[in-house]
Amino acid sequence: MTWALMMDVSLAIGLLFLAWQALIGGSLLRGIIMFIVFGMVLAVAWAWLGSPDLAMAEAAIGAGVTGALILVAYWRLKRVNAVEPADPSPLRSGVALVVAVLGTGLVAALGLASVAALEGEPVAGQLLNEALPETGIGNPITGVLIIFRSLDTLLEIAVVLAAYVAARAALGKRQVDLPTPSRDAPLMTALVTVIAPLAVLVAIYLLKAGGQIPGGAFQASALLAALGVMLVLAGRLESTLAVSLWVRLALIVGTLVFCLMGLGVMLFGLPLLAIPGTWAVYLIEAAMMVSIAITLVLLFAGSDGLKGVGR
Amino acid sequence: MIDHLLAAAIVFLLANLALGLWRIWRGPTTADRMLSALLFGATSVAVLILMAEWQAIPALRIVALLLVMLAAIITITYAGISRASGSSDQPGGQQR
Amino acid sequence: MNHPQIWMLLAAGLFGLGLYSLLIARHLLRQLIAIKIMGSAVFLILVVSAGLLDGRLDGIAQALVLTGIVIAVAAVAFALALVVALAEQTGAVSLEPEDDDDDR
Repeated sequence: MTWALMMDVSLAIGLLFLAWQALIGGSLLRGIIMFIVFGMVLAVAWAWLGSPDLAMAEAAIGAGVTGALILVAYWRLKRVNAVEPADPSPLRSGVALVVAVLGTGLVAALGLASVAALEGEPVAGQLLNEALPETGIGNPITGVLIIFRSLDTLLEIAVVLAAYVAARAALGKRQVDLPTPSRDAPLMTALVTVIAPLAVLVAIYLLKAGGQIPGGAFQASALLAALGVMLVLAGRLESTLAVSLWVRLALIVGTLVFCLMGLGVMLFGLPLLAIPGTWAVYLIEAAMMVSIAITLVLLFAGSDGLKGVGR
Repeated sequence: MIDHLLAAAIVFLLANLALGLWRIWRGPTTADRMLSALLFGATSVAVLILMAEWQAIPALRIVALLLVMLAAIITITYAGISRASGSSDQPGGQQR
Repeated sequence: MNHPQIWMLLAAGLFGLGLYSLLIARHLLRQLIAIKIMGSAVFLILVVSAGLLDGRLDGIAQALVLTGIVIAVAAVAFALALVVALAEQTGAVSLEPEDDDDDR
């Protein structure tokens, strides 16, 4: 048994165990914590599979931001004393078991067949590697996201914006509860003072580095969003219903810059959504980073705006 | 030789993760769970740095950097929410 | 990724666990976690089935999955808003009809 095989097997077993713990039995709070840990281990698995980009996205978005969103929703459900549903009947579990076994078999058969059918090297990936050097972008994933499949990414950021609008519509024009900030908890001031500037620095580094090596707007925005969530919980940012022009602008700047750039290049005879140069890639990524980060923080806070709290 | 050492160290660290997992599973207090979550962050960082060397993927160090930032932030977030939800602070206070 | 078969089997296992939990769980948060884990299984399949290029993962599959992760968090945030709104208005955190609770 080689080391590589041992890594494959232990990560696979660990992930299955964590998923089982997150989903079946035990208290819901424990399940949520197990789900966050599942995301962290999945990030290590992506790293092991050789994809630092996905590892970063999974750790920051899959585990960090999603975990914080689910935890605060759990806290809000506790606040309204929602009725906990009863356990399912044995008949239903039996039927579910049969369906799940069949589903597992189907996915396993399809997956193994697709592995067996792999012949030679991926054609699309090869084309990507040939076309990439001309763009001046060294990271193939950033290249695909911003240059080759820019329409997908434009629609993606539009979906994030739409999700925010829909979530606000579902909750109505009011302030959603948030845990009381632990402003004066021991060490909080020291931690915030150290972590906040470092997180901004790392986010900007990820954005800048994302052009050539793994990193990019999504990873950077997730880190900024995590920082924003922390600042809200530490009482340094306060959610408010007052509509501020800056917050609104930050919400849409990603979509706006992307659209204006995509249309603007047509004035110069380029096709729709063509990217005129590496500066445009960084500009679009920076705008997307701001938009996604502020959208995720507002989704967490369940509010229309944020304002800083004076000391 | 060095490759074997690195791989063995990673497997050892993964075993540490499994022990930390047992603590999260077992609890019983929020503080236990939070501390093992911190252990998870630190150990994952070590695994990633060793993996960067072993697999010759330097970018994994950036992933480790991101995890360091996130671990601190997640801990504060989790502490804030579990403090506010109160009852889970009690020993054995598992909520259904 | 020396053994893609292991990762495919892992994806199938995660998908099955998620499906089972989605069907039996009645708490909406638990069902949401189940859907998230099924999504992770799909991401694994997408990346692994694209195969390797010069020993590295296919860049297009990675970009697809990266898009998927971001879309997933937006969808989760919207779903959580719906769950919270439902709980505030009806006091329920499940989509099951109330009378089912009598036979426990």
